Amino acid sequence: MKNLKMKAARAAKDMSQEQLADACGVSRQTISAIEKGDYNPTVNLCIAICKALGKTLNDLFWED
Amino acid sequence: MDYSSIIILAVILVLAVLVWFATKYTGDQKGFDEMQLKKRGDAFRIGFFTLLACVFAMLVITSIESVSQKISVDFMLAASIMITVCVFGVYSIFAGAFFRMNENPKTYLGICFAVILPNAVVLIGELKKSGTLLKDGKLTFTPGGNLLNVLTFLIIGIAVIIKMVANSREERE
Repeated sequence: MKNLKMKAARAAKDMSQEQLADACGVSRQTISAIEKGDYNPTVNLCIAICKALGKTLNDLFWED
Repeated sequence: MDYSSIIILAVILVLAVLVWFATKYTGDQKGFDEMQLKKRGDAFRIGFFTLLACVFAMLVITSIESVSQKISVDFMLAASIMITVCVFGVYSIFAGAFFRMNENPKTYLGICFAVILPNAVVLIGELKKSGTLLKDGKLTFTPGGNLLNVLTFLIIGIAVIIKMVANSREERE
């Protein structure tokens, strides 16, 4: 399932996938795969993404 | 009895073990993130089963006399390995797990070109000289190996180019 919340949060911060990837210490392909729903990140990476985007785990990764 | 195939297989096994030790204990996996390591694991698994399938196909093919008279076991063994390399390479390239983070894919294009060029020269030379790749009516590792090298690195090079184009398109979006 696509992670539109993460894509929206990244866009709101005016960050490119490359910039978010650098902030989290992963490749741009990994950020792209997470946004497309092709890869389920580990909790450590989820936390790194949340910190970089200034969001909580609930905001980005909790399905309602 | 011709032991050349067994020797080639033994050398490959020794190299595989050396590469495994080198990557495990020298930290060669550094530079890949968690998704890339997972996808590379998938690629290695698919490559392993591809090699098994190729070796099985090779055993079947060598049992057919009309075919085994035209293709040597050395060539088939090399073809199996090259097919496995192709499968691993193409899968991991498209999964975004072939290159390390911040690694320039153009370097690999250079490597592909550097491998293709001398092999293509030998291949064309052989074709010009004898008009065929067969030696005594049989396709052998020399010069068949050159053909395999050209095809393998051409496929990997094309996959790299397609991935680079897809990446740049994705970055623009």
